[in-house]
Amino acid sequence: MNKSDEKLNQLLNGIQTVPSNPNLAQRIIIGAKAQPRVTTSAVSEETFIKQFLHSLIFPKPAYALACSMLVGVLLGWQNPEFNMNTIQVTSVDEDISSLFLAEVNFYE
Amino acid sequence: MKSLEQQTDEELMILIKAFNHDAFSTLVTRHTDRFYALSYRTLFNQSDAEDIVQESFLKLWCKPELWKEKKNSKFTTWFYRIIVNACYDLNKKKSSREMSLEGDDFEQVAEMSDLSHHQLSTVEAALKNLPERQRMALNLCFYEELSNAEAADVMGIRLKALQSLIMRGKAALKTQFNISEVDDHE
Repeated sequence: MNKSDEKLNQLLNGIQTVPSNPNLAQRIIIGAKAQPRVTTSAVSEETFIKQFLHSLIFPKPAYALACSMLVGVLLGWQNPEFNMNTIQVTSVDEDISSLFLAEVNFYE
Repeated sequence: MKSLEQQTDEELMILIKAFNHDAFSTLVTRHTDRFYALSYRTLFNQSDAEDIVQESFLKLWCKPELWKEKKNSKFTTWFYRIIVNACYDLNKKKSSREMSLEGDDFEQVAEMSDLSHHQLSTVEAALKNLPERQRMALNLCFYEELSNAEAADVMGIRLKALQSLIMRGKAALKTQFNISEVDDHE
């Protein structure tokens, strides 16, 4: 530190701050007691949503896997080749035909 | 289990968020003088400085959610910022009030204002004459002994901007007190 800075620092250190009222801290503490506060139960919607999302702490790969599975299920559901009713009708028809044939073969 | 006096400021803030008035009292008792001193050296008015500190702490009590717990964030740095902004706002209000006054009204208010000030020393007067931001930079770094990085964070400016403010503030004060750089070479 050079001499001019030292001289300046000496001058600046010479300032005497006017002290605060000795009861300033007490006034603040008493004032706070008189202030109404919103209780924690009255949480804003935004805070609630943030806290809820924060509670769902899943890693990103899990989200990707869940999305892929969901897409797969949706695609499979909409694909007519895998429609359960069609499969059922087809299998019932086949069963009946095979029974008929069996009957015919039995009596021949 | 730690007593309230042993808890850090950040731990006390967690308790304050849960409406612990004793934690708030501990924090106020711990820091009132420090923040008052900063306010006083910014405003040079005892009652204004006390009002600023009181309003800021009461705001903290009513809205503790304003304090966001982040890694490596300090309560004092955050609260310094609140005090600094409150001082700036008060100065703006005062100067716009003075500009809107005319003639006799202005003289009356000026007189009343003088009565509420104690007689400023030469050094205080010199500090008061500095531009607001230079004065604040010197206050934070010299009197509050914050690091340059912390002070820049409090003022919401870059480190280089803060260093420039300090340099210009010191140069202005040296000029006022006739401290020349020639002294360095003696």
